[in-house]
Amino acid sequence: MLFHVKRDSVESALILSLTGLILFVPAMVLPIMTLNAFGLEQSANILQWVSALFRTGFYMVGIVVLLTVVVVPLLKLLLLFYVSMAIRMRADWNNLGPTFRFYQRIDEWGMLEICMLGILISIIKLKDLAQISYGTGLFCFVLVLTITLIASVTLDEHKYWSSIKDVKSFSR
Amino acid sequence: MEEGMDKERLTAREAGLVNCLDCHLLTTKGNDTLKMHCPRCGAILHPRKTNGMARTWALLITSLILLFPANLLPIMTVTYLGGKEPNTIIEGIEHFVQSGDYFIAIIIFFASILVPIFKVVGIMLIMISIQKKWQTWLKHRTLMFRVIKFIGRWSMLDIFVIAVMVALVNLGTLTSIIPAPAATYFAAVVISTMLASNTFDTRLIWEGD
Repeated sequence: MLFHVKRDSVESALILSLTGLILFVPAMVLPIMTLNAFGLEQSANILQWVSALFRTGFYMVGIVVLLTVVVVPLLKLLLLFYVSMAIRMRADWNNLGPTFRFYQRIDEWGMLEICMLGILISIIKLKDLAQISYGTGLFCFVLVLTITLIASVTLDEHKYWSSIKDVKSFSR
Repeated sequence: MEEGMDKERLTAREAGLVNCLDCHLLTTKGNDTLKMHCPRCGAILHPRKTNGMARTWALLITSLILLFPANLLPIMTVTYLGGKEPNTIIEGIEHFVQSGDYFIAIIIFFASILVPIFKVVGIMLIMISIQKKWQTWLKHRTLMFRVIKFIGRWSMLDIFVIAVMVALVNLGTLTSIIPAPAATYFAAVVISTMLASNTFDTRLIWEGD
């Protein structure tokens, strides 16, 4: 069934990337989880994970998390939207080829699903030691993750490349 | 599909064609210019990646060296009721085994220990097989490389577990978790092995002489 979707893959890519972009900020800013132990409470969103790593002096690890969970996924959503929109409108926007090429290059550095598994493992690890409550941020994060996964699977690179070429030769 | 080089078959390189690494468009190679750009996507065309072997070896050796501090040094320090306890990756896995979470222990063992070692050893084997010009198992080596490239990112798992723990378990001396030196080394290992997979030119596996 997925192969039928590929016929309208540009449209679905547009919808997916737009929805992903809308949900992106809440996913990063709303708290993912709250820990409750010894009567004390601590909650964190994804950006706070990064600042916690910086606070403890581990700048490189913090930057890696920032890149793989925030920067690259955001870029991928933006770039996919840009290229899909240009193809949809048959408009020869600036740098279509290099943009899509860059998208393909950074693709493997977006690690939302690996982060999700990390969250799950942490939950299992912490569950016996303290009380955990889940925040809206986690819900948004799972949505963004699902969107990016569907977008990757349904992306027809060959069709995109030939469409990019068509768009370029179509304009004066 | 036979393995090995067939003398009657023409390779793209011999026919003067170059395949773009990014958009896979075939173009005829020009004679003068060393740096040709792909007409469709603008990427620089490389008949073979420049210094592919040398760069990959450098990254592999770096990864190998970094593997030692990553596994021997502690990766995080757990403070519980005033007592500090540093934990290496392996000690962390032992904790899971002791508490009965065998499933998680296996996942972390795979992602943090097996996968990085497999990647480094795997790419090294392929590189050595190229330099010694072994002609057998060509398809298997390509498949192995694809597997390596795919699973590489998943080693980053432990870093995310640490990130969540450090951010959440932050209740002062009662209980808190902070990262320890191995975390940086481990992140570096994952990155350098991913880069090594990228600098390696798989076409070299199929090169005869």
